Amino acid sequence: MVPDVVRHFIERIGTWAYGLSIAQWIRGSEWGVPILSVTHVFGLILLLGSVFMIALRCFGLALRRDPVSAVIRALSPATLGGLFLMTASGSLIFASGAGRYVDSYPFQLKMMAYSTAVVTQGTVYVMALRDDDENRLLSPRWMTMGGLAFLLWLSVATLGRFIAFFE
Amino acid sequence: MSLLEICQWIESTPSSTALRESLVVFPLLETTHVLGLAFSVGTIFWFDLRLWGVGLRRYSISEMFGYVRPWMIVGFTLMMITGAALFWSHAVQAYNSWYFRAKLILLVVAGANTALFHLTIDRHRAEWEHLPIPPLQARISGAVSLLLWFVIVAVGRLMAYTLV
Repeated sequence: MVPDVVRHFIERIGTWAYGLSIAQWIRGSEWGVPILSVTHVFGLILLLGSVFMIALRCFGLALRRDPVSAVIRALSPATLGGLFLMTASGSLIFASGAGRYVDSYPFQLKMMAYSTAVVTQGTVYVMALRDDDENRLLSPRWMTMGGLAFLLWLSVATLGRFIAFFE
Repeated sequence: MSLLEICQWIESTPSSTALRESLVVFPLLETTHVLGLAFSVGTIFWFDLRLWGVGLRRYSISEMFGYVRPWMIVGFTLMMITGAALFWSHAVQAYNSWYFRAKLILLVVAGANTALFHLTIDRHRAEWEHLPIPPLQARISGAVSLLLWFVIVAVGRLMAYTLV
């Protein structure tokens, strides 16, 4: 399911990242990876928590007095902050133990799901910036995008946990 | 029987062994425990921020509570069920883990903080729930809850490094 070009790309980045001095430093420290993992979960709470609230609004189940676009903008510090925390800590965890990840099938799938989710989330944000901000309780396009973004991030998280268990 | 003996007995049960050695159920339990964060801590996060007076000030406390309550109930129920099953599978290691002990104590403190809020200032909610910034006691309650949940998540994640 993972195209060769993706696997080769991950392998190249992994080889490069593994040799970085910060990666060596994290590998050598006792607390590096545990602290990064905690940061990774904090990021998950901010990202998934805000994407879930946005999805609830898209389906008319929360924050109904604001248009979807206004909710997305209001929650964006948490969405973007969470995405940044997850990406930064995840990149460092990957760099420190790249050998373990490049050949991992769940990790390869996670990177494909992650790329799709980032593009989707970016699209959602641009749509929110361009919206006319008229408050319609329900609209098909926001239900589709809000639900899709949440499901994609859930699948990224699921695949992330699978790295620990499956080859 | 001491607590340790109870934990040893739990680990000796066929159900505990089956969970511990399962190549599918154990990973699914852990995954569900992590995904449950989105519905439990991920939703209480927004209620606590509102209580703290930091975000979503246009919405009253009752409105916010109404929005997040069903998901909080589902989320925390999911966390308790999967968490209990994970404990059941590694009872002795959990017993010996300072992270796990700290997590249980902090969960009790978080429960006490919530109870204190509902039994005191929340009783006069109608008087202040529309204020953009709630009274000091409510703000402290929200901030303490937020802090506690982040520490609980952190010790939960760190605990995994002590289990093999």
